[in-house]
Amino acid sequence: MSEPTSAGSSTSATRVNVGDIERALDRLWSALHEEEEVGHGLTRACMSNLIIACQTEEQARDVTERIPELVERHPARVFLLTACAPKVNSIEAEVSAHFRCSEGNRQLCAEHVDIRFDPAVAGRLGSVLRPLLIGDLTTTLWWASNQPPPLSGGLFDTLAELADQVIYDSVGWPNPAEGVRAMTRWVMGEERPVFNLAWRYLKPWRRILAQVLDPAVAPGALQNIDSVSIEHGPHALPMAWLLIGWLASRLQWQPQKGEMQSGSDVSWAFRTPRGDLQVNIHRCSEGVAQVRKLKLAWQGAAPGRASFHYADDHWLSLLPEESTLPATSIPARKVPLEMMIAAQLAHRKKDPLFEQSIAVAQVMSGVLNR
Amino acid sequence: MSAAENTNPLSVGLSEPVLPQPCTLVIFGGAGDLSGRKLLPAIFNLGLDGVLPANFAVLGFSIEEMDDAEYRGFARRGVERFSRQQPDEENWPNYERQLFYQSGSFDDPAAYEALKQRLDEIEPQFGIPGNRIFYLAIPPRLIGVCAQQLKAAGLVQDETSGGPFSRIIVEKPIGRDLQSAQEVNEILGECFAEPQIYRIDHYLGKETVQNILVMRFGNAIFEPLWNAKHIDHVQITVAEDEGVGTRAGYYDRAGALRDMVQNHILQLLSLVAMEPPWTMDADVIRDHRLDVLHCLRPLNIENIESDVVRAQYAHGFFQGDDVPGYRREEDVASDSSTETYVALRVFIDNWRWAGVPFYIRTGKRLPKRVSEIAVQFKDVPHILFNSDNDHPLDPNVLALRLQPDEGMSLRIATKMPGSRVQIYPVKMDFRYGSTFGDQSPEAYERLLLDVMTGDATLFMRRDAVEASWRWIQPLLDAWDRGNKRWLPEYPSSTWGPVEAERLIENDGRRWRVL
Repeated sequence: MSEPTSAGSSTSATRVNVGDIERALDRLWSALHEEEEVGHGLTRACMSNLIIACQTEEQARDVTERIPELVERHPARVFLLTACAPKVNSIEAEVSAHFRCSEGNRQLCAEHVDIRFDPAVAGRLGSVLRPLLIGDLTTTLWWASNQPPPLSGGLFDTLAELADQVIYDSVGWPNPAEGVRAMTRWVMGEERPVFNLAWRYLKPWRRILAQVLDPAVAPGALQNIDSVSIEHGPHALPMAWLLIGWLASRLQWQPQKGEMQSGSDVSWAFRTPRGDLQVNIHRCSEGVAQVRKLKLAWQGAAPGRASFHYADDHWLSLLPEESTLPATSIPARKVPLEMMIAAQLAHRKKDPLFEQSIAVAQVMSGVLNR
Repeated sequence: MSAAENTNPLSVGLSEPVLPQPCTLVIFGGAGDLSGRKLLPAIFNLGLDGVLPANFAVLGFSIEEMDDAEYRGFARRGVERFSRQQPDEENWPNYERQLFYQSGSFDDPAAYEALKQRLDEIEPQFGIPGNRIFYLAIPPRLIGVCAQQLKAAGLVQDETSGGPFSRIIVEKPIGRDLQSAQEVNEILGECFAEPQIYRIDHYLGKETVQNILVMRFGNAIFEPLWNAKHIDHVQITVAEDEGVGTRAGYYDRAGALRDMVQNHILQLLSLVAMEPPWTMDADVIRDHRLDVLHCLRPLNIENIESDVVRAQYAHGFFQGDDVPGYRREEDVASDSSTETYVALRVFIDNWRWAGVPFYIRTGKRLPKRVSEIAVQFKDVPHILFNSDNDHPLDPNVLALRLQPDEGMSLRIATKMPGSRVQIYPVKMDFRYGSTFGDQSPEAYERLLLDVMTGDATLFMRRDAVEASWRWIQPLLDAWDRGNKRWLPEYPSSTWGPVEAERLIENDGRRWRVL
């Protein structure tokens, strides 16, 4: 019955009626028990309900491959929703299980419910999911679509209503400026924790900036920054925007005006406690969707400059030839998406830093092209 | 610079609880066993996990002649053998460029001058503002001289100066009895302020040990039961399957009591038995742990006879192979009276634990390597399902497994399916590894990071070290007086001497089978 995967094993998927999902999961549990040898047990650890929303088959395939690794780190009951049912007005379901073996015992990591639906009946999904959510556990919505959630019609609202927290990714949005505006408005009105994966991907940037510009290493640098320029790969403007939002919120920069200068360049002027500051963001025509390079300069008693870049895909480094600070590197290996989600699922509190950063990002969107 | 300019607003929210500060780690005994097996791999892993400061360097300091390149080779071999993550062409260059080596004698003032000069050369290359951590991975007898030489060479910054920090990490054992511990602490105290001293006990860095506090004070269901009214007894086992191995020189002078009980086990005991702290502040937690040590029923000539068993392992078989008895081991005196096993019955004389025995056992050449704290709850009343005195129900046991397979289990009674009421004990298991994947950092990783961030919660304070020696001392004295007395023996790969069985069975209880 079970097929090995790279992370533990999975049972094959069983097609079931929507109304029979819970019973089908029970049957899976019983069948796995029966496979156990005498003296060995099957145990289940479960930390969350996880609802994953995809809008295309391709997204769903990608997510499906990631689920075994994800639930190894964060055991969960998983609902993978894909807006692509073959029949009009239909909702179809399959169930399977992922488990891992340790010293002869098997531990169930996930009950996986695959649901395909006609977008026309998205409003009914709440009634399907609500009785299947395991009580006492947090429910998280992972919005795996590349549409900004508030701009994707009623599906997001239906699913978000079930969730205690929402995870989305602003990288890849087709219209970043519109997406940032819509999403920041939505997030600012939310009481629940909301996480943007782009924010997590920025962590190495935040870390190296915090460490290299620490007053003990570069005295006075943080207070006296007067120019920042960023280069990013395609689709990563929201990430660069968020990085500037974070710097501005931490260092008390006030957005004054912003300008889309061309299809690939945008700039902002900020007022800082010590004077004016210019920020330029440039989109490279190719490369991965992330912030690739950041340069900044500062004045004050000890003027200096620093330039950081991805030396390769795994290290974030200070460029010695463009910097006045000692060379250094920190590991910045791109964490696989499933690991990122697993890590994020374990965080159940609102992140005030993120919210402060997008609050500035919202002001930046307000002054753009004014 | 103003105070505002000294703060770093970008570090907020990056790491819990605070960002590790740029620093140089100077490892005394940098070419030694602990360094190669634990410290250098731990630093490598911290670097790969992205939690080391960006401005960071390591300077190994030992008597062995070696240059930087050879030291990097030494480090690489250690990382390849003992690290949980492996070096490769991508990650190794960034790690090894931070590694340096300086040879010198620990008692030679000129060596410290050279050390200082080397640090002054290295730190500007990495933008390190003079913060230094001195890790003394050396034999205990050298702790004092190293601390004094560091101070004499001007390598210790005043804690209150507001300038770069100097911190020192010392490994156990601190002394070999109360007097020598006080002497070591006195010398350390003359050279470093107490907040600069980190007395490491790697047991406290283990995930499950840290989870004791979370389990007790983060769950409403355990703490109300955590007292003499509901708990029958507690067993703490730290078992090793290996013999004395290459540590005979040290071990024969120490024995199981000094090697395990005085430090690791009393720290575990204090975590299990402490009162709820009112904050997670390091000193508050350490105060509460210390209170437990103060409440330990003193050992005296009467209760040592009845409450303590010591023994030596004898010839036997380990995994099918013939293994010698302790006194036939290399570098062990043939008439050695050093204990390789000790079992104790301990009482904590406070309101919470009045009358609850804590049974402790630790030894070498036991059947398996396993460390566990087991809390056995009292029987349910002998009515209903527990009315058959010939077949009493197994009591509930909450077991915290420290190694291997860190995790916890709870034994509960449940009804077997069927028309008859048949009760069966079921063990519910939670394992870190299988629930969260293999994500637990090594204890040394956590502890090194804590020193860089200045968090002393998991380190031992001077008063706690001396309190534990003070409690142990009467036992050491009694054993010294009866030095040549015959010691019980236990065959290798068994769970200890029959005397230890009697110690607990006289109370109508049994050691757990692990």
